[in-house]
Amino acid sequence: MIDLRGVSKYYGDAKVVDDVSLRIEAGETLVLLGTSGSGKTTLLKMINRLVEYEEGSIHFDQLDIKDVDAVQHRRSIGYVIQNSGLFPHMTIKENVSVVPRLLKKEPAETNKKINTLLSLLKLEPQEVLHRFPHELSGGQQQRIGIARGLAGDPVALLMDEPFGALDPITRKEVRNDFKELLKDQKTTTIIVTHDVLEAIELADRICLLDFGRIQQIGTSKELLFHPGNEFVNDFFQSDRFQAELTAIKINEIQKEVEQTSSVLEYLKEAGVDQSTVMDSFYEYKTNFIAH
Amino acid sequence: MSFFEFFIKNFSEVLSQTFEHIELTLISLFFASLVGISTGILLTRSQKLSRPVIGFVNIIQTIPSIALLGFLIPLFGIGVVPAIIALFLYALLPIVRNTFTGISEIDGAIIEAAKGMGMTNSQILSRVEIPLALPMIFAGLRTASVINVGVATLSAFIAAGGLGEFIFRGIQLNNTYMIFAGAIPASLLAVFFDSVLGIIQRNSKRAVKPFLVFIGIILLFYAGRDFQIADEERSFRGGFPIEFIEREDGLKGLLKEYNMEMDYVELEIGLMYKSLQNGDVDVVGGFSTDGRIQAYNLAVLEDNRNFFPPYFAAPMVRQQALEEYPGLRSALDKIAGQISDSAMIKMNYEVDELKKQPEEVAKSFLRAQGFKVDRINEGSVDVVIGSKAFTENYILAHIFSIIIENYSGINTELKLGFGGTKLIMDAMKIGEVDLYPEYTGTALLVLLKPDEDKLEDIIKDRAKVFNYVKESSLKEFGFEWLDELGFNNTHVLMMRKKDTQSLSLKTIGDLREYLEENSNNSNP
Repeated sequence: MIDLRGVSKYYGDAKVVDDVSLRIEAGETLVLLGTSGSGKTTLLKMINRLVEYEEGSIHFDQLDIKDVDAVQHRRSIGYVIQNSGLFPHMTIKENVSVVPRLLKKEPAETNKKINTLLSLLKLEPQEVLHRFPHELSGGQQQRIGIARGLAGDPVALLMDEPFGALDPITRKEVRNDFKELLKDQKTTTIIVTHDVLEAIELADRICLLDFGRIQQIGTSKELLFHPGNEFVNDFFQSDRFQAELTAIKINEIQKEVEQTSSVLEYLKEAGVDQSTVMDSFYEYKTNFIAH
Repeated sequence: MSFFEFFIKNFSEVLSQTFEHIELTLISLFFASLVGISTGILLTRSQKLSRPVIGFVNIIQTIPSIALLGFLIPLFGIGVVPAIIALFLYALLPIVRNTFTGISEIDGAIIEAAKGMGMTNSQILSRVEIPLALPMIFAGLRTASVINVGVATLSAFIAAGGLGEFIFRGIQLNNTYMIFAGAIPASLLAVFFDSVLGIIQRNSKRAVKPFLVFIGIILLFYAGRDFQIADEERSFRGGFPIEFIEREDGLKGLLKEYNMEMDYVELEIGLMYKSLQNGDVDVVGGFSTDGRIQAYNLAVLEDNRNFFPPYFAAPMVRQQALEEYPGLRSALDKIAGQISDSAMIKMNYEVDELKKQPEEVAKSFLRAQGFKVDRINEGSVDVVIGSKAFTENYILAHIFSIIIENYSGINTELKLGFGGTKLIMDAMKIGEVDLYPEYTGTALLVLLKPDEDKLEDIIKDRAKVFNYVKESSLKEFGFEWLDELGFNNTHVLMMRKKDTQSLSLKTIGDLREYLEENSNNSNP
């Protein structure tokens, strides 16, 4: 459990993070959503102390992170950034082993872990481990970046626009595989993104930020159907229909279907009779709003 | 003799010079890498410092090599140590700059990823920054090695050895093979260093560490040896320009004539005076009227066996001009025997060291001697006075001009700065120049070149040389020698004045005795 209590950050006179309090439960995936300059990346970097904050406190399971050595603290947290951030002079194996080696873990154990992670991310370990980053495609590099973030068995995984640099098709593939991986690993995850659909797809809960302040925190359905203020309402407006189709799972509206994919995906892939699905969708939505 | 034969004959010397060259380059490069790479890294931690520090190493790079060696002599003397320090300084810029740039230009996201994963600053440096900057750092090392191989040739100027010895001796002696024997191995060395570093760079993961250890051991061995030599109390020694050492009428003949032995090193002529003043050498070879004798407070050892040929200066005039302008002879006769060695030294000193104009110096000398100096004749040019391209010749040409204008009605023109004896003689022969100051020794050995018997017969006698030169010039060229001006600008040995006083040395013969008595010990 990660607990942020009233943290604020100033750059000169500007308050880029303003009195943020939120709690992330163990195993939960929280998305920090907002426009550029909303303070979401700054907030993320406070959690692994790449950015120091002036006010408030952050606790990991009751332990104030300022009471822990910053370097040790970072080693216990996975960190994944846009463009993968892989070290170009190291092989894939060396890249992924960085944190386990810093933590002085058993090499055999590390290798096992790496193989598991790569397989979950749909990569063939024997094929990629001895290669250098520039020999892989962008999507593969980003998968390696994710594996690197998880290789040290972190207590939490921080991701800063992890799929931002990929083309739409690759992005969707990597994101889906990552979702599968999260089901397996159950790591507490915080993801920064400005992509509404990505947020809805990945998040257990979304924290919507603007000007460093939390506008609303809740499930995607709560934000879509019970927006806390004008800003929240407006924020989803341009993507609203797609967002709603993404937020609602098919098995929620058609009990006889066991799939848990979103309505949107279901419609795209199954090619089923749309009118019955859409009827159920509108019915569900009306009930949810009324509730 | 072909170049190949020359090379084979001198192979052992080429080899030893090459090893000296490698030694100079490697030691300086090693220390420059240590200092340069760490400075470059430090600068990336403190951007504020980077501008002034890189500016400073830039400035070092722009100092001409001879000037830098000149600065170092008072601090470190001559020999291997100052040479290595100079090379070290020259190698710094490319290494510092490339290290700094290489690390600064790493993508910030990569550094942040490293930090975010929990690397300490030193881990980021050793595992990420240095490996990523390595190609740039190596490019800097390679540039530095090529610069060093080139600049190391100049070490020959301060008795530090290396392939420059052949190159500069070859230039002095106009011996092309000798120049090649130094220049070819030097260029091969540059290529060699560059490619070895290239190979190491490509195999950097495996090769760097063992290579550095290997180089380190070799260098410590080398350096230890050199500094040991430098520490030893050195014996009395001379320092001479390469040309003087090689000439038969220079050091070789002198040592034979006086039957003496002396340790000596080769030095560039400008640095030679500095080294003498600084106490790195105890006796040097130069010319008797050099202004630096006064500037550096030196004493000339008398050539008591008259080994060095006489080089008395006198006006050499076209006979036609003398006939056409009878006033010429009587005017020039007025300064015959008027200029002593010390007066000439003083005039050279005023021009070379005090930066006065030759004309002004000539005038004030003549005025002090009680001559009229202020008359300037107008009208068409009657007589052209020439000079060769060195200070003393300029001054003498001005003296001739002032005397002629003031003591005859003849109007003169000056054509100064002929680049050699041959050039000014050609101008005399076609009547472009009517007279110029020449030296008896030069006329004898360069213009007239009598056979050896004749030479041996007259060379030690000032009067015989003068008479021979006077007769032969008239006969051969139609140029007449007027009376000598009085001073003798010949080769001399000189020492610090305080040493000649404390050791009571007056002549080269005294020096010989001193050296024999003290044959195996220290400097005065």
